Amino acid sequence: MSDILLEIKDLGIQFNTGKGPIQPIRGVSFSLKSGETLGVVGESGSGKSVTSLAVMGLLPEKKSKIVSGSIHFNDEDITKLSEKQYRKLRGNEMSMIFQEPMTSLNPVFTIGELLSEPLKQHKKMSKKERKEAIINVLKQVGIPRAEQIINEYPHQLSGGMRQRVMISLALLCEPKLLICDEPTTALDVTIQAQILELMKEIKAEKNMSLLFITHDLGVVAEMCDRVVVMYAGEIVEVAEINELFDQPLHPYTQGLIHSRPTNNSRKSALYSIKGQVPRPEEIGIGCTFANRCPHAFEKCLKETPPIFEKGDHLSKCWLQDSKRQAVMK
Amino acid sequence: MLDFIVKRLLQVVLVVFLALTVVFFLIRLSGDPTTLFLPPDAPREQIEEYRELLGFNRPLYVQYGDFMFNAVQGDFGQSLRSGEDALSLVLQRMPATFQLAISALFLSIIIAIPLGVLSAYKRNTFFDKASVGITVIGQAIPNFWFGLILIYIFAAQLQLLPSSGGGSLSHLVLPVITLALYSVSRFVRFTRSAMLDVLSKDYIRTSRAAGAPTSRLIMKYALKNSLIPIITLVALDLGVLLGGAVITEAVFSWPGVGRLLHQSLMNRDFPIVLAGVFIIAIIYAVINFIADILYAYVNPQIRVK
Repeated sequence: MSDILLEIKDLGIQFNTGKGPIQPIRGVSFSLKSGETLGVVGESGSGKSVTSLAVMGLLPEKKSKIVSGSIHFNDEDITKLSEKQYRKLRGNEMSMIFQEPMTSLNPVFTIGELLSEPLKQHKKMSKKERKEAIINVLKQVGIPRAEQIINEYPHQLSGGMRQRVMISLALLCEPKLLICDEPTTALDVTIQAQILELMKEIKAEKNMSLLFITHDLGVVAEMCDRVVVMYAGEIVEVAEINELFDQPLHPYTQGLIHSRPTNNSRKSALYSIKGQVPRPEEIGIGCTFANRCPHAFEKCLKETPPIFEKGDHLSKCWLQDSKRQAVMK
Repeated sequence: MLDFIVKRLLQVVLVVFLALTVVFFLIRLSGDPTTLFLPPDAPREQIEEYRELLGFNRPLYVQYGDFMFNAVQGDFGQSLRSGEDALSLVLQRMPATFQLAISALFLSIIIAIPLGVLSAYKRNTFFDKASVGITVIGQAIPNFWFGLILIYIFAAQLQLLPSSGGGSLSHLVLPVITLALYSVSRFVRFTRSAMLDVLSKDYIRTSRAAGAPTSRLIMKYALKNSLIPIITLVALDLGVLLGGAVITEAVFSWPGVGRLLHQSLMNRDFPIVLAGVFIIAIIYAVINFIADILYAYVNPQIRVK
């Protein structure tokens, strides 16, 4: 078995809307090694969540389809799996934690009932063994009174506790891949720190791979080994974490890093990238970021940039073209 | 829980009292019953004598006070026509109405909920569109007309089933189908929309991500959530059915409360009408009470409050 757990190649996803098909994900490629934490960052609408749902096979069936590329998980192309085969992976080999702990737990079932689902689907266990496994995992994620909590309903728990329940739901079958879709966005900052700490611990303990989706660069810096930056359904930059913060190559990444608030700086207004992420139907020729880019030149508007490689550091920007760099000098 | 029950019981008393009061005064607006009992050319003295006998010559508030005083003791007086005890006349008719109402409701539920769930699951397919179309027609068809058509086809032409009366299972078929048509249509549409709403919720995606198969998502995780609005609707319909499906009972000459009340209103037989209102108000209140308990069973968020 290779070292690479998840490999996405040239992924394209199409959605059918009332106004005709749109393609919110175009040519996305990245890979995730075993035991690695890969961050996926970008603004709302950049396609982070859609990509992760595609990995989980949770895209809305009737409205969307994968039109190009492949997703290899454990050396198997999972885009070709039947729903039944996929079900064996979900909650078992790969799990996902969602953004909204308040609405992501079914309100009319107890925590115990909800948590027994993946075990019922994937493991042959007696009722008693299931209960023990559930209590164990709840304790692992730091839930006090686990024995009582399993008989309680989601609305009886706080947001932080619910997210811990979500995490334990994802961890029950000890997945190889854990996808976290903005798991801390809806939480208070203090709870956020606790949850991130918890996830780090668990990851180290279980040697899982984490796909960490967020728009918060602070969280990325905290959690990730490598980062993929997405913009308008494409990958614009991939780099190792320190490299990305020290030497961002793509103007979009530079903008993102620039727009973070820093300590003690009340002197000027916060930097922001002007404009908005284009909607999929607005995307034409040229670089998708060109209309917001401070460095854009003619070529950016006419031709879509290829991916330029600089060691492991990839970026999709004409500025990295050797010809352009020669001109600049 | 005890607190809850006591509170509800007090509400029941209030509801029954108000219903009786409103109906008491309303039916007196329809006129004096004595005129219906005597020939139109009856002499004035005879009418007065009759009014004296039945107590209709007393001031309205005295009649009301008298009625309430007796009603509290369970005495609604005698039928002005037959002289039989009004309350027991109504109670005699209850079993037939119960039989009809419960059968119709049961039939509606076992047809409508699976159909609604399937419609939601297969939304925008031919099946879904056909079922929505049929339920629109089902809701639009007037009950009495549908009943008459059924009588025409199955009783008059095919002679498979009796057209009217009660007493046997075969008598039950046509009125139950007539009543169920409307409820089925309502339940299907409601179940479908409740289900569609729930299926788009985040927690359904969570269960899917945990590896639950679609059948389980629908039958377990989504259905229990969509039951909350469905219970309301079922309780409302059951109340209407038990209150006497007046028109359907009349069309099929079904010996139930609905037909009795209809006849009594026509005859201005006030004691029977008031006894009927009394029973129906209690039934409504009890059904509501049961619905509340079911809510708490289905939705734990209510239980805590």
